[in-house]
Amino acid sequence: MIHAKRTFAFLILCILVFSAKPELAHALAEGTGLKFSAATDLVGVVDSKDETRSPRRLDLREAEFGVYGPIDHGFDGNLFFAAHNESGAYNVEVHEAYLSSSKLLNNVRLKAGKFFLGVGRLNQVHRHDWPFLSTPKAHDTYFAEEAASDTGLQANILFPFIPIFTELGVGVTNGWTYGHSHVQGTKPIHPTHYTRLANFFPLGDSGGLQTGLNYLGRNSRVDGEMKIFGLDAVAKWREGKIVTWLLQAELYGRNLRAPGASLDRSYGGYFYAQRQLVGALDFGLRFDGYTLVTTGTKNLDYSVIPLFVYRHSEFAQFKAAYQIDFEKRAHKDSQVDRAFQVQAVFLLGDHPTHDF
Amino acid sequence: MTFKIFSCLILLSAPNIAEAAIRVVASTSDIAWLVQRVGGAKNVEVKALARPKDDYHFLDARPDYILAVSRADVVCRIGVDLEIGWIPKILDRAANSKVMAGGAGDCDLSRSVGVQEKPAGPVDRSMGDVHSAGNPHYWLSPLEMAKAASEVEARLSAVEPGKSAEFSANRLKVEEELKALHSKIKERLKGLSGKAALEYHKDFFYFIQAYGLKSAGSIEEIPGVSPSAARLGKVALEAKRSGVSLALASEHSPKATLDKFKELSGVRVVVLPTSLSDPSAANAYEIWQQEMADKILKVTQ
Repeated sequence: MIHAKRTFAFLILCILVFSAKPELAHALAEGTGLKFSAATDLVGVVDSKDETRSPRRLDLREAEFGVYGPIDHGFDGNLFFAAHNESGAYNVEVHEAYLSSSKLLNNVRLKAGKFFLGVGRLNQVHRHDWPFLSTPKAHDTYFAEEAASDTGLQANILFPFIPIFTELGVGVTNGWTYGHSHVQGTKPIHPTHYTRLANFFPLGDSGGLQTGLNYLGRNSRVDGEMKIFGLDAVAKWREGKIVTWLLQAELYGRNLRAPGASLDRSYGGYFYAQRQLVGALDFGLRFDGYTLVTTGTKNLDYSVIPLFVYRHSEFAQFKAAYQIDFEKRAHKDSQVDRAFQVQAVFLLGDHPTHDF
Repeated sequence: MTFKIFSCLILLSAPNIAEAAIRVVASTSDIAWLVQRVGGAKNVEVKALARPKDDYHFLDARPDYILAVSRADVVCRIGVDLEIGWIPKILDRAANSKVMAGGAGDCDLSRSVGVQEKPAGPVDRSMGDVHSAGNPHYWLSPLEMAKAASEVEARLSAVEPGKSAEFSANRLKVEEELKALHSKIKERLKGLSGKAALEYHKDFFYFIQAYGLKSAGSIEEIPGVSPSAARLGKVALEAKRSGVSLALASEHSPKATLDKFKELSGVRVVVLPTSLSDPSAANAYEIWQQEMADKILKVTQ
């Protein structure tokens, strides 16, 4: 861990030097194509009843440093370090480290190494790029607080002969652990394996809808057998530099059979709508829901989160949200938890890509 | 059974065999028009990604763009980092080696254009959306578009060497037409020759230069960032003092800011389309340039 912290500190120092002296970064990139990026995600929770959820102060939630570029004529290399605030302590770790290629086979992208699993929407996007600032409960339960990551192989195959955009992603990873883990884990019976079928449908002349059908499975002697099925969808309308409307949703169902236990089946998801108010200011509203259906009693966790997003530029944005969490259980009064959250995100280094 | 499957595969691939046209994806409608003219209608099948009214700095790597690029033989772009946020991502996700860097179909028009306004010193983000490789809005000048035709010819010839003579002849023809168009519009705008014009953003640098106007700078203080009230007041005052009577703005410039500037300065602001609308029409570029000249003359005469 100490070595990782020193490495991270060195990399952050590098990017600060390169930011102050861009000609140095230019000189290094010249002939190598090496690029650097850094992202900082500051989050504060001003008021919350749940002491375990937040330290009630403005904190650095995550700082990420990335270095990437061509390895040779066939492969690209990607290395991302991140320091996470996990219960008050900063854990520096390799976020992603993989080689990739879109040049070996036509219409096929390959990835090998440690990476965020290519399922769903949020799981494939680094948290500082999410449209909202807190993690939906279903995503946290089924994947991780930020993303389920593991080491393995992934292929994304595009089918150019189909009239609409159709891409099939398949992956298999070690599966010794699942989600976000700092332990060695144990050898699984079946490693983590997943697939996602993505499609795209243009909407008018300024919008579009992307959908994804997902499956993920893993069988472990310790954690049991898990199967996740789900749908993700994103619709976006853009005018000039402004995204006028953003609609995003994910809905999953999970079957989990822990060793020696009965089957647990649950459903969860979120729906988020964001509308431009004026200039660079947007208003968003998110609904989350999660229920365990095999308990035999009624239960439902749901949240309502209105938020404002202000984009100072492509590289700096601020969010303020009011999160209301409800926990309903049979024969019990509903529990309500409220929190006011603020976030500041800034990006340094290489120009970020405009993913749909 | 094997025979049936084999027959089906042959039938499915038959349309591709019959297709002789080079499939070209252009990042903008202006490039699509140029490719159409240099390639010839029967030789190329062109698709423009961005709409003419889009701001080419800020598009997404939409999956339908990725699909189009995955099928393409040639991908042509403005270059000079204008499409930096979306074209590299599209190329990576399309995984089409023909159009990637170094491929025969990698077509960057800025390679054959005289890109100007390259910043002298180091560039960083505190300066706003400054393009370190120079001003990318060269397609607004017919003279620069004439130069850009060379890159289109080179890429089409690399993909279809048997038709290079035809592409070369087409390129010469379109170059002559663009030069003639330049002379024609310069003549129409000769009354404005040497007169200073402001720009909202530096979209019109090449246009102003091509037609003999004089650039009085931009209303934006930091490129890509809406000017503050103080900046608007300062530019308005300077415009009054120096006798600037015309300001040019693209259709995606903020209307409220332009109205405020007009009110403060008394300068006539002309909002112009910064791309042609229908690349399939042979005279689309001329229609668009004439439309810009019409709009300018309407407010200045």
